[in-house]
Amino acid sequence: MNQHLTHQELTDHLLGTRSATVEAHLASCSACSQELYQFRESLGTFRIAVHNWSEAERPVQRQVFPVPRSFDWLLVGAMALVLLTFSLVFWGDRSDNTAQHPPTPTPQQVTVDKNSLAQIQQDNELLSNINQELSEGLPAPMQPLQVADSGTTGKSSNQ
Amino acid sequence: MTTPIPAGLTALADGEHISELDDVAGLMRLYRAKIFRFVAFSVRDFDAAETITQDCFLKAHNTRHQFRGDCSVSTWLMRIAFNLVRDHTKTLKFRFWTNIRTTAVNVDELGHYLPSNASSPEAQYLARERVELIQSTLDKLSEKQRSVFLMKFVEDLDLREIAEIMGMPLQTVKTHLYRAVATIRDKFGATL
Repeated sequence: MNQHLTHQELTDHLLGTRSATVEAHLASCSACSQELYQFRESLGTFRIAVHNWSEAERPVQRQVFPVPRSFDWLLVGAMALVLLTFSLVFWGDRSDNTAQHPPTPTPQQVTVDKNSLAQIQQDNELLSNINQELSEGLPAPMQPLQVADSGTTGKSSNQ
Repeated sequence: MTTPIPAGLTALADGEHISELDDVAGLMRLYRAKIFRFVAFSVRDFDAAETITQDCFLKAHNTRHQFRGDCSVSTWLMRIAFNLVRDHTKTLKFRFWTNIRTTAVNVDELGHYLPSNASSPEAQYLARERVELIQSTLDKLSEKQRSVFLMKFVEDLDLREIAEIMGMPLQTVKTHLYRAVATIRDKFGATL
């Protein structure tokens, strides 16, 4: 008799399934009988209130405003979190790769580079040829200046 | 020898039967409040409840020739209402925005409809608190648990009738009811 009624026994009693054992327990246990009484009374009050409400003319409505459903909030939040995580992971991974491994040139880039090296070499050769020709046109150091016009030179020397 | 008259049919003096379902106004007068409160507390949206209730009677009228009379008109209407509520809830699941328009019944508002036979203000306050508790816990129940709870404890339907309305085995109905009662008892235990 010390053990109280189980939930199933109590609910069965509430639903109208009578049992001698449960009846006997209720007769001796004030806690269980009190709980059952309170619960039954509350359900009865609720029933009457709902009946009165539905039979009234038209119950008053509250303000109408659209809001997202709580489930949708969770969904949106979860999606945003997933997107944020992905973007962070992707960004972090990319920056690491850039730091550790310099970008490998593509075959096209390699061809371009080769071409540009050959071009530079050609240009250098051309420039050196030009320099050589120019330097040949100039008098070498310590070499006496060749006078193009002797008459002019003589006059100036006479003066 | 008299032939048994199916539920929902009324015997006339000349032996002809006239269906109760033909008289929509009479049908609504008799069952509107019942259907409306079940729908309102199931979908928790006042306007949707009104629409569903109208749809229920319209559907009943349009399909009245399908009524075989193997159950009462009340049970048949409840079955139509239950199916409409289920369809409404399914549609709602795919909707991103929803109108929070009172959840059908304001808890404070329901408190105004309490029976006034309580002996003292304290008793009134306690009764109101318990009604509010049941009302708020109903929102936390699953759709089926809520429907079973409403049919049993608000409409006072028999478990077999509930099973017939919901198209479920009796044991499944009992299981839903046990869970609903357990949730409400837990709330009572935590509060009282």
